[in-house]
Amino acid sequence: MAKMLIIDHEKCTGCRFCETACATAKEGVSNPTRARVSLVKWETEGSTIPMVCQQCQDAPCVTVCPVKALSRDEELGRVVVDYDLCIGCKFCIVVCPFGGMGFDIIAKRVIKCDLCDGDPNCVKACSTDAIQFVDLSTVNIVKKRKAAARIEELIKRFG
Amino acid sequence: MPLTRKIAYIDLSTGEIKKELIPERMRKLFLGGRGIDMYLLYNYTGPETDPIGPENVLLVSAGLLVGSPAPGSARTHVGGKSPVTGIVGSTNMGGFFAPELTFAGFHHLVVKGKAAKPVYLWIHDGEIEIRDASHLWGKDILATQEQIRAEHGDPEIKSMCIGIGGENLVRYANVKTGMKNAGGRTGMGCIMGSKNLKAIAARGTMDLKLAYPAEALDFCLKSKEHFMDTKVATALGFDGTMFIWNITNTTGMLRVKNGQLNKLEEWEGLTIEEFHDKYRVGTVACFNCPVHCRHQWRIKDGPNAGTFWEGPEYNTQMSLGNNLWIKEWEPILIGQYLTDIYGVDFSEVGNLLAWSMELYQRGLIDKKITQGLDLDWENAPNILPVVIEQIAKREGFGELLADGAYGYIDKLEKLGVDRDKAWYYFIGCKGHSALATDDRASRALAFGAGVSSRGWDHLRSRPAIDHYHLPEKVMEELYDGGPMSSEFKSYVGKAREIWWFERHYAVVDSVGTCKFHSCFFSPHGFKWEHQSEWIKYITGLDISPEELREIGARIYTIERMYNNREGLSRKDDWLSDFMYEVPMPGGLPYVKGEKLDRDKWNEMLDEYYALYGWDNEGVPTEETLERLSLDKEPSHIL
Amino acid sequence: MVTEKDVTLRCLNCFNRLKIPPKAHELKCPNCGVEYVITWRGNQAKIAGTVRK
Repeated sequence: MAKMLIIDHEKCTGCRFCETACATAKEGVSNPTRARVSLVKWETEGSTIPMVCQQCQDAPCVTVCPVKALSRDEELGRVVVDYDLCIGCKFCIVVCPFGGMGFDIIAKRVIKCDLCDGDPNCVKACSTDAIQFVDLSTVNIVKKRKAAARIEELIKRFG
Repeated sequence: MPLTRKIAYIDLSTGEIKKELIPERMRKLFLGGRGIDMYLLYNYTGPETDPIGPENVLLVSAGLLVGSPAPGSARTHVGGKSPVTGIVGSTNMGGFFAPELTFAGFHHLVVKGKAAKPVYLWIHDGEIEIRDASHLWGKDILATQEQIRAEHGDPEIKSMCIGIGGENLVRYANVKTGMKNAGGRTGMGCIMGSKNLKAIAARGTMDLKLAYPAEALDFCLKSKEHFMDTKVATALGFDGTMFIWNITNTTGMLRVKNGQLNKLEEWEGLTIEEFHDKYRVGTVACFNCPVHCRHQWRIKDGPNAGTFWEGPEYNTQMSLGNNLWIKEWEPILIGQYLTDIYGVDFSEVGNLLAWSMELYQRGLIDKKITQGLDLDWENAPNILPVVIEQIAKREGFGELLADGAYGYIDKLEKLGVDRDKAWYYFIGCKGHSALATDDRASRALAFGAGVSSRGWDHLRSRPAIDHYHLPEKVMEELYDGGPMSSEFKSYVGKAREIWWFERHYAVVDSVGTCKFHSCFFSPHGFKWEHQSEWIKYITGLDISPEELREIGARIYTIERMYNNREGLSRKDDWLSDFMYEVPMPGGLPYVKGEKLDRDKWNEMLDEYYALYGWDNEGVPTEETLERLSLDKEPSHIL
Repeated sequence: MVTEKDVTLRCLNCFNRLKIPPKAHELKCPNCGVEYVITWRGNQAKIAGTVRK
């Protein structure tokens, strides 16, 4: 069963260990700008939102690629780049709604999350479970229970 | 590659900038961060250097491992000749500045001279520019950082800056990054202000190559798991450093009213639970840190409603809380916010104010000297925000306090106050304010404060684990020998503990990781073995755990040499007379009535000097200097 | 789940281990007699202060 990276921004402490682990694992260097996951911070409001490729089922990047370098791997539930075909036109960057496709200025090619072939390093690095790798079939169970618990409390209180 | 990160020499008087590689020999002798900074301090300044003159240097560095996957590899070190004490100035700061400096290509900055008008340094991907900062001068620390981001159009720029405290040359002005992260002690912000340097802004996209990336990542992830399994990781992550307070207050190890009492009988308003319930809204972390010990708080109602900030720490809770007879959270939080935004060290502010309030209580100073301020203890919550602002702006009574303890006592004497009587109530060492704990019963912690190279402090060696009553065998193994005592009231083995911890922290500060992951709070924290492996995988250098101990000794010894050259010796390795003369008035039977014994203190000094290989006055012997490769003076390897 | 660790504390005066009964608000050390105020965070016991006389 395919899994997805699910982010709970309330648990994110902004430490950026996910970025370091990602760049080290994928590129062999510690360089957050080459990480496939990226934190967006509003420091004075106190919030941090980690952003990553959403591995869309019907990905705009796949549709728009002129040389079919992007394709969906259904087994791992991800969109992958074939660098042998990629011409670097960067149109995939233009159309992605999430900023999930980035450009590596050192390797000079587009980069995106590939779920580390099924064993994501960002998940290993995160100490608060802000980023988890969960089965798609049960991905909304935790949130569902949390929301249901609020209703259950109302029922308990008011009958 | 950490080993190819550069050192930059920036002369603000001439505008000249030189960038050089750091010789590998320097890494093997001093590692980086604080280690190399203290070597530079020794060689660039001396007894003739005026700490607020152009000849002083501002040393800014990222430790050897900063920016790597090593947990907590976030720390910035800042050094210089201290405007507060005239001896070693050295401070350490968390957050994200040092990693950004590293990704921008640099590990060390040496800033000399003085700019003709306000400037800031703009450092990006190997380049350094000196830019006009006249539009930043006068701005608080948050506005400064936000303005820099806005004018460059890059929200990822990290800056280290000073507030108006630093601009006004308050001797203990601090350096700041983010909201709360501060290099607080020894007045490094004052040095920046004296050079007309408002900020150092960094932005980097350069690779930090790792010698063995797969092994590095694997070992660093395992290291993270190792530390997160400890009890203290959970305590820190949830309560921050304030998890200690109820324990030390119950025992009677906090200073209250400048040390006249040693606990608060009414403690309900200052519990961590109260903080969680009423103010805490979240937790954030520094670079690569799994522990996330930094709180976020918001005031929900009342006149300060809407104030959102980060912090506080145990130190804040004490310095601006119990020591000032403040027994509720809100004045402490506002006080912390103000010291942050103005850029002044709250440890100094709290201690100097507590001193003043005792002088006022005893009639040694009056409303004429305080310029109308009522320094009654009951008035503390009202006085604190006023005094912080006055200090930062050098106005009113704040002007008297703005030059630290030495400056204050000189001014009081000129105003007709009895100098000796007044000085008796200053709790500190070498002119540096004491931590607001009461360490009269904690021999190791008190001793560490007395021999610390930057004057009384709690981060050169403070072994919090000495209070854990660890079994003697565990202590002997950890401290490489004995005899040791599980009792923190005993004098046995405490000199060895301080010698061990001083070298331990010197290495931690030089590799650039966080002390909270070290043996500070847990005997299972990262120490020599972990550090040696991180260094191997990340930089490729082979430095054994034994060699790391020697490097720690080398760094601490060069700091000692610096202070000796400034005229310090054994006579200065003592705390305020109060600590040896006045018994603790309250607390649990275990501590009540305790004070420090001068004879035992002398024995500890003998033991401590001998462990380091220094003579009876605390001067390193010829053999020690030779052993540590510090025998050629001045030793210009860099 | 309440573990042994959650309800065992050290006396801060004589360092003997104290077993805290569930939901206790005060506890006197059987060894040295010091009386503590106990608070609870979930299942974890903590010493908050000493009983005021």
